[in-house]
Amino acid sequence: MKVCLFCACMGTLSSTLPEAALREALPDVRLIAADRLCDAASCRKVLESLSDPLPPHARVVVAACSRGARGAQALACLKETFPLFAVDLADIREACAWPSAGADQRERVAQAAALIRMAFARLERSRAERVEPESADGALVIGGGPAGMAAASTLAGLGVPVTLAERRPAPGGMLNQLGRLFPRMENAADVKASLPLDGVELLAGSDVIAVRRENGAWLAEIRDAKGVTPRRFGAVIVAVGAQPVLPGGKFGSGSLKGVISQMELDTLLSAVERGAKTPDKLPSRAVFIQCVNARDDAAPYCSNVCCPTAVKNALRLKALSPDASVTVLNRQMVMPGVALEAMYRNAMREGVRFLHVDDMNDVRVEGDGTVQAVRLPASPDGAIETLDADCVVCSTPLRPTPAAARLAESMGLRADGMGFLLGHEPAHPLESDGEGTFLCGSARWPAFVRQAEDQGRAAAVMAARYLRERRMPMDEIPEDGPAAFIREARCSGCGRCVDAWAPGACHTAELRNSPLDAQPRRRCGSCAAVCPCGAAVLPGAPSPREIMAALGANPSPQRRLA
Amino acid sequence: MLSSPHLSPEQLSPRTVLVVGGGVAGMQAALSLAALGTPVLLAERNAHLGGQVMRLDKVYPTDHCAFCPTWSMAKACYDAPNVRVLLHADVTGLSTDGERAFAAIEVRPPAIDPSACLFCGKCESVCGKKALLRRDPRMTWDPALPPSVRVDETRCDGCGACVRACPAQAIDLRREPISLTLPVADVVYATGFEEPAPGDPGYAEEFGAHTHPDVFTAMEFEAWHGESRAQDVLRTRSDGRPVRRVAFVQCAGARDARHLSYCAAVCCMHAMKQARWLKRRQPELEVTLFYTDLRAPGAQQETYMRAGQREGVRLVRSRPGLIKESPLGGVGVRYEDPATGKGVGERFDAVVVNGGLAQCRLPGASDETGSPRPFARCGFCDEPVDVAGAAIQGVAAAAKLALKHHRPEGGAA
Repeated sequence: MKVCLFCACMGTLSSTLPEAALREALPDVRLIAADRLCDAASCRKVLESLSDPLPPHARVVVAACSRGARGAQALACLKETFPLFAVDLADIREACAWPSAGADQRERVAQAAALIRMAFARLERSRAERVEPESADGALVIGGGPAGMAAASTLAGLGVPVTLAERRPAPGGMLNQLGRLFPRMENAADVKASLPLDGVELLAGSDVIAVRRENGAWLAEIRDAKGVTPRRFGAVIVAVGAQPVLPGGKFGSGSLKGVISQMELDTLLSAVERGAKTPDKLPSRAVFIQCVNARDDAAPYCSNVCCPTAVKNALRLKALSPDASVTVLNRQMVMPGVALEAMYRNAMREGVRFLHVDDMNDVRVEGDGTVQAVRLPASPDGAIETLDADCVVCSTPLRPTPAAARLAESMGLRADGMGFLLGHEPAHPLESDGEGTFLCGSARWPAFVRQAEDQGRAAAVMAARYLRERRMPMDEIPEDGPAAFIREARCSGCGRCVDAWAPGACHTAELRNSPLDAQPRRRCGSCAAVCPCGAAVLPGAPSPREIMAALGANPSPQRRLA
Repeated sequence: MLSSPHLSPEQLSPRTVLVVGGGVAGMQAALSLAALGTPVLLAERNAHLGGQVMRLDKVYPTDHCAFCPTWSMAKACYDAPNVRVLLHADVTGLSTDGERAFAAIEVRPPAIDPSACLFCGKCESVCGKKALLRRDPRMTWDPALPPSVRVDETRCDGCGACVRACPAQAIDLRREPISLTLPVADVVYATGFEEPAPGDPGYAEEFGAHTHPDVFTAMEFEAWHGESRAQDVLRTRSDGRPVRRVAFVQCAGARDARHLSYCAAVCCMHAMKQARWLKRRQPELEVTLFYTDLRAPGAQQETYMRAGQREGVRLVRSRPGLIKESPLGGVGVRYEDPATGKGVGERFDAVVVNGGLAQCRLPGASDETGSPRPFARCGFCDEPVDVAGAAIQGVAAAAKLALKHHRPEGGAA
C-alpha cells in the first residue's frame, strides 16, 4: 500500500501545489494532507488522527521540504512506527514548488507527482541493510608504548576484549627510557603506572609480522619465541611509535669524547636523579645542538619533541648542578602552547642561554680526543664566538620504525614521504584508510608522551565505536542474496571495481566469481558505479530503466509501480 | 537532536554530561560520549555548531575546505538521538552538591523560532528595513540547522510586519532570555579561543588591529580573501586600490608578557596557509611574513612551510614594533632588519596581524574559594591546538570521562 503524507507547509506549499490536483495525479496513492509535518509531535498527531490507521506493511513517502530543512524530522517520527526501509522523503518544496513557482500549475503538479513516484520507486527496491555479525570482536593494539598502553587500558575499561602486542619483553616503550617528562616534569614511571593493563591480554616479546584483511576481519600473524600464530581481530590500533635517529658522525659524535645524543644525556640525568651516579659525572659546560639530521633535505620535517626535550634536560641539568653553563644552539625554539612557552621562559630565567644559528652546518666542534670548544658562525658584524665546552649534546629527530612500513604495506595504509602513517587530516587524524584501523602516537608523527596518551585514548574510543556499530543489526528483515555480484559475460577484468572499494575489503578472485562479496556487506554500490561495462550489479538499486519507469517517462510505466 | 530552549531538568537523564562549547573539540567529545552510551547536553553560544573552524576557508596542512568535515560533524550531533544541542546558550556558572553539578545556563532565543520557521521568505518580502537575513553576515554560508531566517537587531524597528506575514507564527520580536538550572553528572569544557578585541587584556594596540581598515586580524582576513568571496583582484578595504604587497605579522601581542604570554601554536601555520593561498590566487602579489620563531612542528607542516618559501613567500625573522597608517599611503610596518640590526620601515597595502588567540574562560571551573573543580577540558581552552589536535583531544576527553563513570571506585583512570 502506498501512502503519501503531504505537508501543506502552513499553506505555502498547498497554494502552489493544490492537494486535489496532486491526488488526481497520483490515483494509486493514498494521499494524506497535513497542515505541517515539521516536527515529530505534529507528525504523530496526523498519524493518530487517521480514522483508518495505516497498515504496518505500508510504504510511506513524506512529500515535504528537503531533508536538510525539516524533512528529516518527519522521517524520524515515521521511523518509530515503520521500518527504516519503508519510509522515504520526496522534496517537493525546494526541488519543485520553489524553482518552478513561475511555471504552469499543471507542469508543477506533474513534476511533484513524479518526485513522489520516484520516492516510491526507491522504496519498492530498497531492502533492509544488514550488517553481518562478525566472528572477531576483539581489538589488537600493536605497540606497547604510552600510546598503545593508553589505548589498551581504555579499551579494557570500556569492556572491549583487547590484545596488546609488544616487541620488547615489557611494555612501556619510551616511558622505560625517559626519566622525567616535560612540561610537568613528572616521573615516567608514575605515568606508566597510571596506565593499568588490567583485563588486557598482553603479548610481550611478540612481533606482529603482517596483518591482512580476510573474510571481514583482520588476520594478524604474531611471532613470539614459540613461532608464528595467526589471530583474528575486528579492529586494529597501530601504535608502533618511532625511533631516534643517531647523530651519525656529525659534530664529532663517535670520534670525540663528550659528544653525546640527547637520549644519552636523558639517561645520565635520570641516573643522577635516582642517586645511581654522582653529580660530578654531569657536564659543567654543555652545548646543545638542535636539529641535528633534522629539517634538512634528507629529513624535511620538524620532529616536534626535540626542542622541549632539550629545554627539559637543560632545566634538569641546572637543577642538579646550578653552576653548569648550558647553551642551546637552535634554528628556532619550537615551544608552542601555554605550558611549553612557560617552560622556555623558565629556562631563560634559570640562565640557560639560547643562541639562534641560521645554518647548523656552520657550527664547528673542536677538540683533540675530547670536546674542548664549539665555534659559532660569524655574526653580521664579522665577530666569531667560540664557546668553551666539555660536552656537546646532539638533538636528533625521531623517525618511523621498520614496523610502520611493514604494517603499512600489509594493511594498505598510507604513509607520507618520510614513512609516518597518514590519517585523514585534519578532522579525523586518527582514522586510517584501513577498515577499522586507527593510528596513534609517534607512528603518525613524533608526539609527546601526553599527546601520545591522548591519541591512544581517542583511538581506543574510535575502535570501540567501530566494533559496536559494526555489529548493530539495523532491521530484522532477512535478505540473503549477495550484496553485489559480477555478470561474468560482461566483465572485462579491468579491476576498477576493486580500486573503488575500501582497501582490503574485496579481492579480484572473488570478484570473478559471483557472489562478489563474502566480506561484510556494505552495499556501498561503488563497484557498480565505476564499472564501465555494466557488469557489476548491486541488487536492490533501481536501474536507470526502472527510474525512468517510475517517472512515467517509459511507454510501459506499469512495469513495476502500477 | 536540537533541543528546545525551554529545557526542564526532568527531560535530562541523571547521567547527562554537559559539554560546554560546540566547536570541533566539543562536538567530538559529545559524539564520542553519545556513542559510548552517555547522554550529552551540548551547549553552544552561537546559532550554529562548528565553532571557529566554520569561519575558516581552508585548513592546513591538506589545504582542504574547512566546511565539509566540520559540517558533517555538526550534522552528526544534530542527528544523534542522545545528544541534545542547546543553541544560543551561555553557560554562566556551576554549583555542585558533591555528587552532581548544577549548570546555570542562559538561553537567548532568537526572534524567529528556528524550530517553527519554514524559511519561506515571506517575512523578508514585507520588511521595509531589510532587517531579515537569510544567513549570518559573518559567515560565507549559514551553517545553522534547521535553516532559519534571522533578525538583524541593528536594523529592525519593531514594526511587526513580519510577525503578521509569517504563516508559521514563528516570529516574536520580544523574546526574553531564559534562565535554566540543569543538573548534570559531569562537565567537559571545550570553549575554544577568541581573537582579542580592543579592551581585552590580550589586545595589543600598537599593532593597529580593529583601528585601520587595511589592518586585519587573522580571522577577518580569512573571510576577506576566502574562496567563497573570491575577488579576481584583491582591493584594499580603505580606498579600493589593488593590493600589491601584503604582510603577515606574527606574535603581535602573543608571547608578550604584557598581553598574551603564551604561544598560540597555530598562527605560524595559519599565516603561511593564508600566504600560500594569496600567492596561489594572485602570483604577482608580494607576500612577507614577519616571524619570531617559525613553529611548524610535525611532518607535513615543515614540508608545507618549505613549499611556501619555494612559492615566493618572503620570510623575515623580526618582530615589528609598530604598525600604523603611513603618511605616504598604505600601512607602515617598522621592524629591525635581522641582517644589519638596524631599524627599517616598509609600506604594505594590507597587513594581517596575528595577535595571538585568547583561551576562552571556563565558567564555573573553580569553586567559590578559587580551587579548581575536577572537570575535563579539551581543545584550545585547555592547551592551544589546531583542528586535528582539537579533534583528538575531544575524543580523548570522552574516553577519560567514560572510564571515570564506568569505574566509579578505585579506578586508576
